[in-house]
Amino acid sequence: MSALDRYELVVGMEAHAQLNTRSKLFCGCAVEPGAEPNTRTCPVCLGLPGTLPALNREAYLKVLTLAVALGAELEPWTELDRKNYYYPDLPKNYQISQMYHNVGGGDERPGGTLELLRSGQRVRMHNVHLEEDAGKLLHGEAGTSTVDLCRAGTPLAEIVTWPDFRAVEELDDYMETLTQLLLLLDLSHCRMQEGNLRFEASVSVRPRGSAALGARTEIKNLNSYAAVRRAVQFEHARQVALLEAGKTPRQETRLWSEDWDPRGAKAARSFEQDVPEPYRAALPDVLALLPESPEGWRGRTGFMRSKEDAQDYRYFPEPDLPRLEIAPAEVEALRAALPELPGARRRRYAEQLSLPQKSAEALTRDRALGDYFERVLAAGAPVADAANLVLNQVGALLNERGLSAAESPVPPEHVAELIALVGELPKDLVLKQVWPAVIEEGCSPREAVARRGIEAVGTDAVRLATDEAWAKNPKAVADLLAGNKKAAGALVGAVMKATKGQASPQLVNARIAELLAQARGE
Amino acid sequence: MSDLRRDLHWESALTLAAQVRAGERSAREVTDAHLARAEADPLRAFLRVDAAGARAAADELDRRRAAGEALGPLAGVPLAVKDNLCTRGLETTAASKILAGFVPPYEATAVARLRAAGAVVLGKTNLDEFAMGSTGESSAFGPTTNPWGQGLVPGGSSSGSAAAVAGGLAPLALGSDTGGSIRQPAALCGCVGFKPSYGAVSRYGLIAFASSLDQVGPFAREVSDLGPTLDALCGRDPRDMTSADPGWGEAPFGRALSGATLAGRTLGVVREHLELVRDACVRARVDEAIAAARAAGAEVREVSLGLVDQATPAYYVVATAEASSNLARYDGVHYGLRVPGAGGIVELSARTRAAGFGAEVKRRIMLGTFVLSSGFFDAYYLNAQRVRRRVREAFEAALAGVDALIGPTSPVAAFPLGEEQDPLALYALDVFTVAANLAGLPGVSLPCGFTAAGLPAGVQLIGPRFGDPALLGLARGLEAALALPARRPEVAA
Repeated sequence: MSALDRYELVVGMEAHAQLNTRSKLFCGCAVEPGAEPNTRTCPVCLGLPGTLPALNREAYLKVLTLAVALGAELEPWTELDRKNYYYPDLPKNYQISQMYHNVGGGDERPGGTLELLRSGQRVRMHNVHLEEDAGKLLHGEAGTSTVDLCRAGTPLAEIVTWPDFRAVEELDDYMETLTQLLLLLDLSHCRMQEGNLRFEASVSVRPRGSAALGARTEIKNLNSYAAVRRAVQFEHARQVALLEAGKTPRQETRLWSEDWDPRGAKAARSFEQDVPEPYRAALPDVLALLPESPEGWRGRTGFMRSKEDAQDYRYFPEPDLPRLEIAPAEVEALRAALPELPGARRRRYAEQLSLPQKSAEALTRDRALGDYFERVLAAGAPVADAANLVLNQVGALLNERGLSAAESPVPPEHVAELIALVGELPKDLVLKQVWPAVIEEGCSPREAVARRGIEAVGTDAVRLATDEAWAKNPKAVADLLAGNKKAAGALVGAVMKATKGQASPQLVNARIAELLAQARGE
Repeated sequence: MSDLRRDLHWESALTLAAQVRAGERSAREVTDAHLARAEADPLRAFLRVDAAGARAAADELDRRRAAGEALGPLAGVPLAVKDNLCTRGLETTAASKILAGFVPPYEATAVARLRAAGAVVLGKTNLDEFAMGSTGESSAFGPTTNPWGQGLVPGGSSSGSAAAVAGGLAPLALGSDTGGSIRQPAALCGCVGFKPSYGAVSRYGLIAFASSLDQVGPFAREVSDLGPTLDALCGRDPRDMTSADPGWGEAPFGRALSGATLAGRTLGVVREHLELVRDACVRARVDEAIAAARAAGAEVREVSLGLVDQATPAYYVVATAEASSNLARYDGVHYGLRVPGAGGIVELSARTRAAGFGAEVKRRIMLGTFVLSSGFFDAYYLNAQRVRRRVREAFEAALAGVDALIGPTSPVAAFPLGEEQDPLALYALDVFTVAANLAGLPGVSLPCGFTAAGLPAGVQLIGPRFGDPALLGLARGLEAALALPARRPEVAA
């Protein structure tokens, strides 16, 4: 048993999602990632003396919608608070955020749950709240930094879970589920590369069977799902290495450095810098616990600050903004308008529609494909066939053309019609001839059948054609009699050629079997 | 036909506006006359005078008048603006070195509204740095003098605005009041100062001191001048979410002034306050004002207002807490003073703030940071907010049966510059004014006579929340009842 197995991994996730409103949270400046530095600013988001915040109500409603979707416990009102700290990318040197009365959930109030779309795991949410983003610092040469305030004041939803995760795989599921939920609710564009969605992981370990939580590390600078996975794996290894060496991890904030190469003398030095004993893990111990060898592994967490350095943010209610009343009628309206949540959809597919786990998952993960599937069902198709065709035939078509299901050239109603045709025409014929025709002709299956004169060859005709092929292909017959089963393929091919592909392969093969038996004198 | 021979500098705003609208005087003539006095400014009431801007605005008014356009109710009225109100294109410093050279690219709503009514901005007036003070002595650019006595404090923090109006440099001025900073200097300088209800006037563009307490308000020599001024100033501003629409209708202050009288009104006197007046002459003048109110037909009854001793500490806890946060932005990074040197961002900000802030500002930032800090937040900040709620309830109870409270504005009259050095003693001068800020109530101070030493005394009226127009009416009634003989300070030209 590896050292890792002796400990339980405990992870909590914090996400910051930039809301997709047109303007910032407290002023009318446009939210525009990639704009020229300091061109999307005004006196308010620059924090000029005398300016005041004016709340973007749409941003607030988006966070309220999320809280409702998660089932968070709501209060009769919510309020913004000032989080005071100094940093050059924070023009007012305080951030308007929430602490005491989040839109949804808090220390004493449930923040709801998120049912994961692959596993069905129900993750407990701690809170969702509204806050403004800071600007960007760009570090230049010779220790200078420049400040770009275009992003300052962008509305954010901060989404925090309880530390309910026990494995790295669960994190992928969580991030994917949350992303899908945010897209469904039209909250954010969720493009991690553009900074629309940022994750931080809080990682601790404890001996298996222990109930107490170990000291946690908060990891920042995670810019992709892969980064989250690797950073958690690294921290898992680092903390276990410390514990195995008889030391105790302390509460720290650490930064993920993506490109760090574990090989070489400098690697150890850069890993250990700023970390005093007894909190410093030995690099070889850590490397031994990573899932990949040093040749393949890249990245490490690095010390940023410890709990002792932690700031006192001196939170107090924002006096420039009034309380926001949360009316029950408003909440009901938001709840009634919610789409089917990802976890609920997977559960319905698996439990009510009895789809196999993989199909349920695939149709949930690709929301547009799932919506397409729903429309095929609505057009009357039976569940199993619909799932099959959507995942296979439609899926292949979309894949080939790089389209999403919402852009499918074949509407779901045509897929339903195709399935209905299988009762009238051989299945193979339908899939191999009618389906391509539907795509190429851009018309309904019945229309395609008519246009191309597709018809199944009758049983008698199939039998005749097979007998003829048997007679005309003595070499194939001889091979078949000699035990080479593959020789049947040549015969089937000949029949298909003769019938222009309109013979049912089952019928052909059945007749070949009969003829074979006859020839063997059975 | 008004008397054009009267000394222009002592005219009321209403008279000047009427003359300009009627074409009897040009706006330029009015402006030039005031600019001459403002530029001379022996009181150091002004931090800067914008002669070019004022003349351009005046010329524009004259041009429009000549073109037959109707001009606004404050047409051509010279206006002095406290230097913590941002003026577009005109340096705004809050009387602090840390904002020296800061030129706002935008304007405070209050200033914009008065300009829209026709007022001509003469320049920016002196104040205690960041509005933190009661004497004007903590201005980084030297104190303003009281027009009634060389070397006497004018009060604060709106020291320059009060001195300018009382000293005949401008008929109208804008100030701000967080704990008494309009009312108290009005009392010490002998003019009228009105603090509107919290939320009645937009704070957008007012350099914030204490966000839940600050209000912008006007000074004048006569109560009537405040009618069109407050009509122009008040009203919801979408840029200030704490501003309100009190539903007063059209020109509420003008309407409240017409036929204003004390007859049939009821006023409440807080006995505990009268006993705290330290200057016997000031006490006498206030007593006389109360007697005059009675004589004019008002019923005056005693009311109780507890918590007198808790209001001031609660105020200083809340105000300094908010100030410590509001002043965090002055860090040498984005605008204003930057003190260069070696070291990183922390050193830069520390050096800049050490050099840029005066002692009183530093004191209040440290106090405010402390009361918000972990471990002390509940005992200080939350407790102060609880006291604040009780102060508000106490006022509501006291105001229940009366139209307004009447009492002293300041426990003392003007005293020599440099005489009072103890910060706590200075804080204690706010005893009659802070509670109205805590409770968000409107308050007005008007002259009620002079001390034996020839220094002004002021009487204060406090009304119910959003009872501002009626309060102005009462002030007019009291002014009429007092019927003080005209008296002007000797201010060297």
